[in-house]
Amino acid sequence: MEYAIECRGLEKSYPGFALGPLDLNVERGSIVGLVGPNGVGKTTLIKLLLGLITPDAGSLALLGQPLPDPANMPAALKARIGVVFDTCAFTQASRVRDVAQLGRASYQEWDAPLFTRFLVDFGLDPKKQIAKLSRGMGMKLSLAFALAHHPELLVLDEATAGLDPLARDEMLDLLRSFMLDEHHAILMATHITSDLEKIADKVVCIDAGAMLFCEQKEAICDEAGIAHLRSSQLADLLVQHDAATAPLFVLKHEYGVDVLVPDRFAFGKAHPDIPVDRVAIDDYLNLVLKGEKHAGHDQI
Amino acid sequence: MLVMIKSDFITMKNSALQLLSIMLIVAVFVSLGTGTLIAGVAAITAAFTFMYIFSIVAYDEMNGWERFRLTLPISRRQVIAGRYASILIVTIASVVFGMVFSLVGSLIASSLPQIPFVASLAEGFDPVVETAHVLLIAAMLLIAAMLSMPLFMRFGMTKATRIVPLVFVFIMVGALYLISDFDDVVVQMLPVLQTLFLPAPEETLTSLGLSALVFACLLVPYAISAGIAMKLYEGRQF
Repeated sequence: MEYAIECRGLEKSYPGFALGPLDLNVERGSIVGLVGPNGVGKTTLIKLLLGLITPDAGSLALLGQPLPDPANMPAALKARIGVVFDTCAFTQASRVRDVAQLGRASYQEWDAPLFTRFLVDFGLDPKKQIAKLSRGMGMKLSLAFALAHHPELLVLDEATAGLDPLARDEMLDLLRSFMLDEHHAILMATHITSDLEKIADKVVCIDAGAMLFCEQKEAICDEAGIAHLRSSQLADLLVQHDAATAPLFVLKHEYGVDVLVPDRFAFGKAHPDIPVDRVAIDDYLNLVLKGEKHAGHDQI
Repeated sequence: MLVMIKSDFITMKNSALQLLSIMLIVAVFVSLGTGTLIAGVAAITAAFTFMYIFSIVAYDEMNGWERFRLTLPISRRQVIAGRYASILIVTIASVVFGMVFSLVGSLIASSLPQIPFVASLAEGFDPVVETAHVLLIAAMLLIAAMLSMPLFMRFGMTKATRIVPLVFVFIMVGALYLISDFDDVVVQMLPVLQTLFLPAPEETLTSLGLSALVFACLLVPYAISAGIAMKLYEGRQF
């Protein structure tokens, strides 16, 4: 299988912070969501992938091309990647039409009619100054720029943050259209996990510079569940829990205990007296990050 | 490199016209105030290039543009090469603007004999000497650019503006120390400096030739500065 992103043992450290060693694969034809609290290394990882910072250790390959020196990524490879950061990065004094000029100057594959169509669809006036664009409009312009050179890989860092739900849905529709080509891939770091529920195939969580989990979205949203227990039921449950299966994450609160279970259907059969709900990525994240991990009865 | 030059010019094109208009007004007032066109020419040539350098480096830091630019199909070396090339192009363009200003200024001044303080601007106007002076101003701008750009590109404008004045002070002190150590050489150089800055009527063409030579020779350390900036920029973390 050819990966759009393949990194092994990627490491980067700053005073007071270390990322990795991290292994990450993004398959072609898939959308991978990168989640985690602020300051845990999501943007650092994206910067490493884009060659904006140099790794201390590890190997990286993008679109099947190994990169022994990511900071000197070949221009031809960069031309196959579209990037959207969390702000509209074009210079404030420029106008929307200048962004089109920049695209033409930078990319051989620049599709001027497609970019113009995006501008029309998004209601972006070519004469408007970048400084006068709202955040939403700025992000739409960034996405239009990222898509108008027909990239194979999109890397998005908080690209939908601060957008209203309608604008977010429009952007997600564009990403869905982009993914109609099965050779394309998207890596998107976001705090808006509801977006990932709509379009992601896989969710990767980073915490304190390490990968906490890497799960198929179905495993989270369709299979996993939250069991709502009374405090008195918890001890029995943990005693019965088999160490060989996936760990349970337990979060105690005032009115009871929430337990993240890997298979809510199996759990429902085994414990018909305990209510268990479908889990959203946000709740999953909350329980994995804040909950107590219980590997099995032999560790209680 | 061409992508970077275009990127710099696309970035600056909306501000450039504004800068040029401001410089033109300043040059007119400076020329009238000092009673000489060369002061206005100096204002246009020096200030336009200087403001270009500061504006383009300042834009780099706004909204993460510099970081985003590295995701375009352009290498770090090309970023530096393009930036140095764009500054050189702007320096040469500002020499042309300066010359156009002085020629147009002298024509206007000589056509207005009824306004003495304007007409006096055309007195003693020599386009050859003016060109020589403008080239010397451009040469000084190249020196300023070659000293400051490696620092701007390595540290960004915010940090570099704290370091650049220090570097200039060290260089000036060093230069004064060297001059005091080699005062006999300086004395021998005086006639050349005289020809360069205050040429006699028969030396004007020599002055122009020397100025052009100084400018051309400075392109070598300018290229070396670009090489240093490339090395420094390669290690920069965004």
